[in-house]
Amino acid sequence: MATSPNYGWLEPDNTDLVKNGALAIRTLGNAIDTTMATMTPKSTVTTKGDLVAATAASTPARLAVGNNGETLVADSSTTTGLRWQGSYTAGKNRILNGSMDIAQRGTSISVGSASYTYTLDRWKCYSGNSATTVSQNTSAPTGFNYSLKLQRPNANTGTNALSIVQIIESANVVQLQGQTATISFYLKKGANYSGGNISIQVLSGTVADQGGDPYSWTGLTVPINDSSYSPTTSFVRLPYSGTIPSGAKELAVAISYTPTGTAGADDAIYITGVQLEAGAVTSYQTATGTIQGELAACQRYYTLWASGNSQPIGMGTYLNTTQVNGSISLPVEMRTTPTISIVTGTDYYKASSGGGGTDTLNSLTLDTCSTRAIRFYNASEAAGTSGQAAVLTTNNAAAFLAFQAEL
Amino acid sequence: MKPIYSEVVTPNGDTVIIALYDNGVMLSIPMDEANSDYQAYLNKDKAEQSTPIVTNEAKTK
Repeated sequence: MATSPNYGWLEPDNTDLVKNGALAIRTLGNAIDTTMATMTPKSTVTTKGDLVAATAASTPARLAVGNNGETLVADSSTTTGLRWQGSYTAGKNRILNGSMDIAQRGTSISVGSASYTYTLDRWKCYSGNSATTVSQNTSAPTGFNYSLKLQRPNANTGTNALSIVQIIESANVVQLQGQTATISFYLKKGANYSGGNISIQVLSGTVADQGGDPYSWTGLTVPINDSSYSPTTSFVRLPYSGTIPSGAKELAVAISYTPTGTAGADDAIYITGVQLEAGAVTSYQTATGTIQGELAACQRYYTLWASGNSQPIGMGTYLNTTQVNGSISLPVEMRTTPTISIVTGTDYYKASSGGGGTDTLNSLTLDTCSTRAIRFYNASEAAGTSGQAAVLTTNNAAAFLAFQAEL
Repeated sequence: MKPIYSEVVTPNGDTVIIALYDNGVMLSIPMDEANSDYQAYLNKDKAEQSTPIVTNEAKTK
């Protein structure tokens, strides 16, 4: 008798006479059956992308396909020793501060009527109502510390829409031109939510960095526009896709709801994990991957320098007896030459110079600036010795100094 | 809330736009076309916002 080349099944030799043929066939069949029983049936894999992985020696099992964009990593704690994991791709998410961690302007911002107001970093709010509140809230899904709470204040009777908007800088938009893009986010409603379906829009313009009101942009189109989702009181991740126009130079994301009746204590929506990416939805990641990176990315548009009493501002010099100047190197290069934003008030700032002299100031004004540094001055209250150095600080709890280069 | 605007020439010789609000906030705005505060100054006499495109539920922004 011969044997098969791979599995050693017994076979008749080519020259054997036919004898006990049925027995030979049965012997061969049984051998094949025994071998096949040790093999993995094709029914093990049930879905496109499924893999076969070992749970132990000679023990194969199905490993279901992961989500779009995930990569396979070893993990001895899992049944198969493998795990799908969201891979970090720098710049995948075009939304800055999508997880609402950065709040340089404060954790609760009151928004007046019919004017865009920046709230948590990179997010600005608009409403025709007399008052709207945007705050950083600790109610968030697993994997997040915060959400943005967009709220009609208790007892407010305004019934205009409340919108939260982020405008994306042109330099971070052009790579999406002509591509399918997906906006995704986690959202839930407050206990006293009075609105209907949520409105989600991605707006596109054809002129770079117009900023301001995206609904006034030149070449405005709305490649993603949906109002089919009725929110629940639990966070749900919502993805929406559309094709970004080939001529898009600027994009904005707007999430809105329209309240009805009189507001209760929690007439609000909570939003976090906002992501805009090319292609289909993938697992969330911040634009930069770290809190440090997110802060630096946000500082390109807004940098809080000092807030509150006795906060250091920097060094200055009396250029003459009635003018003190200071200069600051910005922590990151800003998008454009920035505006200085301060709160003015009697003696809100001070310049402490040699010999213990203290000069109180009401304001600080831009002298000249670049995207990397700012020089400012006071020539109204300053009274010092020409050539003397001074330490500049805030001198009132309401004092405030920031630089802004928003869109 | 609209600010009161004024133009000042700084000691460095630059012209800066000062925007002063009722609540004491003061902006010093460089004359840079890319600066959105400067754009707001240039468009200060226009209507503040346009009517947005909205979907079923968000009938007004």
